[in-house]
Amino acid sequence: MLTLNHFLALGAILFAIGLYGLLSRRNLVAILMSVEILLNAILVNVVAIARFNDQAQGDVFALFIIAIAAAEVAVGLALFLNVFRLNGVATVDPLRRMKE
Amino acid sequence: MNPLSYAYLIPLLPALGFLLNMLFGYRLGKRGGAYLSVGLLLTSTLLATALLLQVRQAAPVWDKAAVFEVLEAEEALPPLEEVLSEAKAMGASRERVEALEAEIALAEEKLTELEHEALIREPAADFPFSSETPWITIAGEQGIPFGFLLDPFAALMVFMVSLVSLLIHLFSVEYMAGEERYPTFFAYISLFAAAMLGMVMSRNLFLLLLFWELMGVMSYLLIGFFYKKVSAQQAMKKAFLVTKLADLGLLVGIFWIYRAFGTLDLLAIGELAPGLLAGSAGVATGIGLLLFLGAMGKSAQFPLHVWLLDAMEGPTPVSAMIHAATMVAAGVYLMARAYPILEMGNALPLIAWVGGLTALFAAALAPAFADIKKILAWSTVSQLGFMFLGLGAFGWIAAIFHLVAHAFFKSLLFLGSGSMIHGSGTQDIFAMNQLKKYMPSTRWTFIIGGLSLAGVFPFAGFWSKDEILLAVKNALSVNGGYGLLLLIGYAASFLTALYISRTYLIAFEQAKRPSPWQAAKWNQGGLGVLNMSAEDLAQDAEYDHHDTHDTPHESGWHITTALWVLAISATVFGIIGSPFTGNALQGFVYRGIVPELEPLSAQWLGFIVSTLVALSGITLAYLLYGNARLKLQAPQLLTQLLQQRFYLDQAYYFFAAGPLTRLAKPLAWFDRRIIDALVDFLAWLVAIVGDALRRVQTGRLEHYAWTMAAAAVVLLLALSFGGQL
Repeated sequence: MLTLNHFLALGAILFAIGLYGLLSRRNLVAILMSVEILLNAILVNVVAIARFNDQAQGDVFALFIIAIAAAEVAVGLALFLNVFRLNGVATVDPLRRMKE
Repeated sequence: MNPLSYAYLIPLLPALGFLLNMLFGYRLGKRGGAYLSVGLLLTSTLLATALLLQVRQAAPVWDKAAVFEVLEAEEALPPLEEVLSEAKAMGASRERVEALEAEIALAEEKLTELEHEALIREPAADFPFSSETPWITIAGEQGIPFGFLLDPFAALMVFMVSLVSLLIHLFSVEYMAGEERYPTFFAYISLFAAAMLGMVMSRNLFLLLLFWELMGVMSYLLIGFFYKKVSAQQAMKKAFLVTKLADLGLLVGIFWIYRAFGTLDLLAIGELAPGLLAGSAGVATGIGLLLFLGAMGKSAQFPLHVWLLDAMEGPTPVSAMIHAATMVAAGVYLMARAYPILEMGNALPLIAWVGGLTALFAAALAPAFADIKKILAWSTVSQLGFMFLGLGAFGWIAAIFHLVAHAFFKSLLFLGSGSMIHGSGTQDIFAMNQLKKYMPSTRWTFIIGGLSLAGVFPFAGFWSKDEILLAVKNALSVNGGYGLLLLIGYAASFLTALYISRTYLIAFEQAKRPSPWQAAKWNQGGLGVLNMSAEDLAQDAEYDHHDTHDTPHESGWHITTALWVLAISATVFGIIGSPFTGNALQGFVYRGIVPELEPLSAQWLGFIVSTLVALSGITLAYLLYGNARLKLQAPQLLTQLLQQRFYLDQAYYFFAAGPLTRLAKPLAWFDRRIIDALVDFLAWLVAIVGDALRRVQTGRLEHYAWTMAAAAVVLLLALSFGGQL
């Protein structure tokens, strides 16, 4: 029997994986993927809690977040493409220059 | 259609011109902004014409003969009321009081009946047009509503102001061409016109004050339009400070009116004044004097006239604007509006004396100047003196007539002088080379304006000035002191004819010749009138450098059209106010008649005397400056005294500006060393903190990610162990 805690544990594991990827990778695409995992970890929690409380808002919420995340990915990839064009690599290092 | 439905557009359109020119003026092409302003003002003028016609349609028409009976009946009322109040104070018997009250009621009834009979046409139900909307509310009081008042006087002023401003705008299109900040100029001058239009339409003294002050600001900006000149900077400050000092009087006067009347509504004041102020002449005198102080500053009356001459630092159209349609007219307008209060007090003789002396004093100074704009400036001061003389001599309507007539012919003369300066490249009349050969339109319109100013039949100035002198003569029966004022008035008229003829003869008829005074001298800047150092003067001279054309040229159509329209309107308005048309203008503003103008036969003597006075002034000018060239050298001392304006400006610097500057110095030290230091310290503190915080921004994505992760962990821990946040 699956309980709410199972789902919450899945969410926590996903969150940890995402956080690890975010912090350990230098490649921008990998970082973006990690961010997506983080997002999905949250979504699992939201949908699960909604389901176990017999509410529909959570599902609607999740759909919106997925849509927005898709748009965000498009923008992010376009940015990375330009970073790559300008620097020849798509890692975080050249972005340091933004400070100046 | 009720004129109130469109009247608000009359000041609003030029104000819109200001906004558009300020925002987009520089993008509208070379003259786009200028024509936009002209177009908006043209619309305003058309609306003003419609307004004037509609007000005329709605105004009552009176039967001349019958109005006299009304006046008699009106005059009979106050003595009766006085007797009643005395009787009450003495504790007279009840029967006596009742009998008196019945008598008054009977007299009032008779008055109403007579008034009804005297009316050929009843006024329209909503006459005079006025609007009112709540604006500033004060609990338990009437407060200050926003509203317009469109009675015949206001309609006449609106028409005059909009027409003259329109022509000045048209003139400026050509005159100001090539100047830096061309659109800015049109923005300023449009708002200037808007402020004056708003002022004459105001129903409320507070609203009037707002527009009055707006005009003060605009005159400040326009006088200093050539802001790179030190003399212009000085002149704008001088104008602002002098008028602001006077405005203080107006402000206190308005407070006092509110205290005495409980309202600032002009209609209500007019109705309440005779009743409220009866028996308290002191209040009426005090309010009158305070208001007059404001008017003295705005309308440049002695001893607050000092700013007006230096205001010539502004471009010529601005001078025309200040001297004819707006600004100086405002003071006279205010006094004319406050007349119900003035009549109840004892301020009028003083106003007459200030006006009379200013008229004479300024007219005496004018012949000592060679700068055409300064001659005309003195002329304005002098003519305004005439208006106040008229007001002070119970000639309310005469002063209004002269105000309108003067607005037309003085703006004509000023624009004429602008055209002369434009054509010849100099302001020195001695340096102008026989302009009559080159500038026919300018010449003929200048002659029309000049004859009008000199008071020659049948031009506007003749009728209006005569009416003022007639009012002074009639005032003799009240107070013998007016006899001397009548002489002063004639002397000023004589000098007026002299100086304007001199100007014409030297500038238009005579060949160029060296000015009797060195160039530096007629440009009064260096003589301590403005507080300028030698360096400032040198800098200005460089800025001012123009080539004088010995062969001038006539100005283009913008300028000549403006001149001719003004010349025609000046003459036409003079005729409308003359006995030929039964003083239609005066009858429109007042009620059909002007008591002092009747009967016509009483005026002939005045006409003959003033014609003789004007002609003798012109003749003397011809002898001195015409081809006859009578050699007559004014004593050096007199010339110097006149050119130094009787050393009044120096006296102001010595007694007012000097001590104030000494007082300001320690304050300036405090400001720089204490206040500024405090502000600098705060800025330094912010810089230090910012420098420290700046190091947080490393620019490394990993750092930001770690910070976020750490923050998430902290948040998680806080939620787990801290419970509800």
